[in-house]
Amino acid sequence: MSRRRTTTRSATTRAGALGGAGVALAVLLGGCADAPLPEPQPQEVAGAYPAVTAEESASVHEAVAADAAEADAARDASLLEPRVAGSAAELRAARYRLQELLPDAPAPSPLGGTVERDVVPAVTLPGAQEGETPGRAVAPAEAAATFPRAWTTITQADGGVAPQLSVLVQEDARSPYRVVTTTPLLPGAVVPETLAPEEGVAPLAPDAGGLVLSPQDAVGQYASALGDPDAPEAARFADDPFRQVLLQERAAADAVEFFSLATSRSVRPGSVVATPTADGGALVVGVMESRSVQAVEEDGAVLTLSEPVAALAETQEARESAAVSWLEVVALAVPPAPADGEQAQPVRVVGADRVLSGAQAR
Amino acid sequence: MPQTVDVRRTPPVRAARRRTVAGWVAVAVLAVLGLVAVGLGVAQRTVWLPDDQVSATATTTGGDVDPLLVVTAPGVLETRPGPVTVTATSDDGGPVVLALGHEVDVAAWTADVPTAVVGGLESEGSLAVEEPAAAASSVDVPDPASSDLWTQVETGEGSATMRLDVPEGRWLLLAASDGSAAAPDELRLTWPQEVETPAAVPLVVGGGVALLLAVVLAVVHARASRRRRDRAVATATQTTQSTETTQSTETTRSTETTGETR
Repeated sequence: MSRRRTTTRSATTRAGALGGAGVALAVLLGGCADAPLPEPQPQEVAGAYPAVTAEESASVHEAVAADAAEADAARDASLLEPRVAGSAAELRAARYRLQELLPDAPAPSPLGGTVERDVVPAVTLPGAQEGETPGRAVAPAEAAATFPRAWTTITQADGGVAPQLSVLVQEDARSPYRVVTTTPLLPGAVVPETLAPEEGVAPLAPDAGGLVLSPQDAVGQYASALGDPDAPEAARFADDPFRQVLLQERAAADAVEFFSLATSRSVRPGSVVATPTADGGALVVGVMESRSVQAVEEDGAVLTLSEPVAALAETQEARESAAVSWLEVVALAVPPAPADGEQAQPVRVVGADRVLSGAQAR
Repeated sequence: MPQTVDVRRTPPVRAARRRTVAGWVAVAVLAVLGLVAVGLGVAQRTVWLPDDQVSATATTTGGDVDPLLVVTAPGVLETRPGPVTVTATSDDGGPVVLALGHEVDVAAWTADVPTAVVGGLESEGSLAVEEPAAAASSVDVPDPASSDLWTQVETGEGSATMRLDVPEGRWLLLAASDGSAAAPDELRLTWPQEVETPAAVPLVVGGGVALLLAVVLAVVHARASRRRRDRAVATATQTTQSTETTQSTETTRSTETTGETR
């Protein structure tokens, strides 16, 4: 009988234990509902990152090539707008005009093809230190100040044409990357090794130091050298075929009897873009505008105009004056500033292009 | 033997009845608890099984001005472990664009544009929204879908959905219409949720054991009750017989009783 009582008691204990488990479960389920809400988990501010990924780069290159090809085929500069702007668009528009007037006028060099160099800009988050985890996003105005962003690239299109050195610029966040400057590389030109770190490359300011000439000065002094072979600036530049051609033309125009020649050349403001090179120097691209005026010095003298000038001026000869305007693009390899006691290396011209942009004759 | 003495002294019928009732109550309690436990365990894995994903919605109501853009604040996409699925819905069925970009790029895109900022969870299912203040200037915003800035873009009519593993770094999500129309009205973030029912198996097993015990107890009690009934009948018969016989019978029975309880 005493054993039977034990059985009854243990059944009661078990019942109690199960009831307790039930209560525990209810508490557990109830507890889930009251768990604190998860918070946003902002990640750490990291260092610089490339503004353009490889994938984005490929898609931009493709879009540029497609737009340029379409516009080139139609000789319609308005089709360039989405992806080609600035001097790159102006040079193309001028070439389209000449192509319309002269059947033999050359077509613009195609853009796109194999990407040989891609120096994409590096971006850093403004207003935050590396390792911080700010809960609020950067102020839109501060973020907008990380624009414009410039990106230097060399592409090689098919068909035995010269490689193109181009600068793409994203003016602001809501603009696409557009080619603003492009020039073919000169035959045999060696472009110094460019940097291609994972995080992208911060472009150099036009007045950057540490170079034999600042990027702005390099383009400015080259403009002077183009106008005068005896200018002191000319000595800073290695000889190049572009300068040879321009100086020959200048000498020929100067030699025309009864006509005087006056040439002015200026660097287009804001056109100079520089990217650092592995040797501590810079690859610099700039745009120049030049204007040459030949004026009659003897009454009755007649100047026979060249075919493109005549086409643009809509007259074959000039009796008073002939003015021609050129748009010129130049790419320079600027060496680093020399160490003490060393001689400065010359600036080399690696790419150049120009187009006759206007002509008037009377 | 003490049992012999007990049986003789206690009024046999009433004591046995009390024992039987207590036993049956224990059986019933065990059975009910067992059934409840099994039921709870099964329910946990079926009808009460939590969803394997958890969503939160941000609704832009418009403050001083209707937002043209909606962006997430840093870390909002990562509120819960990913991958996160984002769905933007526009009530008017117009175009919807979702774009993932670096914090700098998304922030720069919103410069001078009335923008709603989606913050953290306000409750289990809703996200805080910071509506734009009155716009100082109105800016023409192009269609974000065609921008070079984004690493991932999804578009749709009426709604767009993007599933993403937020990469390392500070990434924000931008939701917009085609730029000229008002931003999507609703942004829904859905994260996966690990479903755990740690109590289900112990409940089912425990409940099963309790049920089994109840059955065993029931059998034992049923047999005990039958024996006691038999004994009661036998005792009634014995009272009419001689004292000597009774003595010997009782000795035999006490032995039986001992065996029975074992």
